[in-house]
Amino acid sequence: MTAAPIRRRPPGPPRGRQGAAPLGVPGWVVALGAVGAAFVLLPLLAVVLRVNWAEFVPLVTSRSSLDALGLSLRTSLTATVLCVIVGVPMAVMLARTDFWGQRVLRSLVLLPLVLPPVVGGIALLYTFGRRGLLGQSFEALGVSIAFSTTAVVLAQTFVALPFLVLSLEGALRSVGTRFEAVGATLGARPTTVLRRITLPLVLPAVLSGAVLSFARALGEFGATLTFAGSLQGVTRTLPLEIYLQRESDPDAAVALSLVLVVVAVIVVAVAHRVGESSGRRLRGSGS
Amino acid sequence: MTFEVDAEVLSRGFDARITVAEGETVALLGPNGAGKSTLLGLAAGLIAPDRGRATLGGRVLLDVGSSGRQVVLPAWRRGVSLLAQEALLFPHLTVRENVAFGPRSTGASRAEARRSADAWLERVDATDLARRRPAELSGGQAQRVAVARALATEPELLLLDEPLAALDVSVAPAIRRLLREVLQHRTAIVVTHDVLDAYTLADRIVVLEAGRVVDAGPARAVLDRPTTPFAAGLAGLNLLVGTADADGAVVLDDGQRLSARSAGALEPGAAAALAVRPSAVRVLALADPGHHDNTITATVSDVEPRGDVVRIRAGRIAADVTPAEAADLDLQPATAVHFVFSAEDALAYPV
Repeated sequence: MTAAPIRRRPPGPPRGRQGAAPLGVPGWVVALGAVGAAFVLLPLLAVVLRVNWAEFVPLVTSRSSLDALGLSLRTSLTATVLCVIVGVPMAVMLARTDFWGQRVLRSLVLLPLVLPPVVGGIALLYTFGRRGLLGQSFEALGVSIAFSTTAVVLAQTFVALPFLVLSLEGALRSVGTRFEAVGATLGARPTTVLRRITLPLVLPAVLSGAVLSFARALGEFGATLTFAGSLQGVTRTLPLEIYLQRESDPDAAVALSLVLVVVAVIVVAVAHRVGESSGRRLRGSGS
Repeated sequence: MTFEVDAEVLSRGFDARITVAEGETVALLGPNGAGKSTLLGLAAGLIAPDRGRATLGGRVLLDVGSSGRQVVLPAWRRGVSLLAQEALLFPHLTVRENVAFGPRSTGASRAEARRSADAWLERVDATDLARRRPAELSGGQAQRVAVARALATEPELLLLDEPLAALDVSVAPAIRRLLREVLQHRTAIVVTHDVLDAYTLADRIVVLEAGRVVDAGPARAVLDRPTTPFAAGLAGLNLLVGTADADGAVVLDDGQRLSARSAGALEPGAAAALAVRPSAVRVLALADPGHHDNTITATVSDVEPRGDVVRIRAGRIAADVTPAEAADLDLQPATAVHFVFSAEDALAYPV
């Protein structure tokens, strides 16, 4: 008996279209679904149609536009890094430990997801602002946070963090602790287990969580405006610039909106790709 | 390294004491939920007891609730490897990296870990798999690699949790042979449901039931002369328990007297057991008296076809008859019949 390698397929329905028997989705479901899809896609189309293509390049390369775009990318990337640095430990803590008040903490940590961003901005102002909870101490050290680029990063981190924590915690729970237990019985200390087993296993979730956080940071508006203000080159990110231009130069606003739409599409595509290819690598079905 | 554990886990109703001598392999048998996995978890450091003490070669692995001193050594500092039913190879590492993981984690340099991984892969006959990913392995191949990985850390105690249970019947014999080879002179505990594993892999058997040790001893003694219904069931024997009388026969609770080839040392008045193989028991119609050494009259409770024989159960005794005999006797549940066997086929021993 030769033991031929068996390529195992992940459980679940067959991928692709072969063998997909029509199960009979009701017509009205298709109709309502189409309305929903149109509701999402039409506004995007409207933006594209409204773009002044002749002026497009000058509009998006104007001084203020480039300032806003550069600031947005810089702050969003920094916020994403911060999200990974504190969000990964938070997710590990929530998924792998048991402590008093854990459920309450989990709900509160996810609060920025449902909180109006303006409220988040006010909360940050009363934490890091000149007279805030921590701001007073920073102020005494000569550090002023509110209405600076740092404030932009903090506002973005605040709203984007739950995206990473949420997706990573779910992944950690579904991976389970069996591989970690094996690692421990092989003599690996907790840090080694985390670095060589846990994190590689949930890497797809870390990456897609980071991409989602980046997208959320890039689109941040309310908290930024409240907590950081709108100072060109310092705190005026792309969404703020768009909102401002809407009054004075609608063509510029539309052109910059299109830039954000394109970035968002790329982000969504990358998140999908990352999740799928890493999943396939681990399951080993390389068809 | 002698391993000794005496621990209690209240939530699982576990309270047992087990010793494994240096170089000895102990098979842990017992019905589902008997506490076999709990014992392995306690030894590996994956479960903490409510009370208990465990030592491995003089090192204290855990000491809880005895003297105010609380020691629960974390799993990674115990020198105890666990091989489970599923191979559980790390899916993101190659086969060689999987095996090198243990040595690398316990301080070996990259080159040393790699060397030891290669040596162990060769030992389990899996050298050509070194560069593959676990997802590209068959069940038997993966379990081979898992054996190499568990041993590459040179554990002082090796725990095996039904290592063959998830394997295809066609590859299990090869892995059993491999385990038999690597378990020589190694301190190990193997949990199994399979008597063949107990015979081939273990020097000694411990039977757990409801969290307690109910039987222990060399494999042959426990399985050939079972004292619990569970061990008798594993060995495929009828177990009849009663009291020895002055003539070396066993008297059951209901007064039924059974004679057997005695295994010696039956003391009159002391508890005694009688074991007989179902294949040595014949079933006769009530109208067919004849003279036999032992006759038990009972009502059939269960008729179970088992390939070329039919197992007839009636309360505490079972017999294997041919399908033709079963048909001739018209054996149905609720039929009363005689179960007869000769003294020559039965074994009596003290319990």
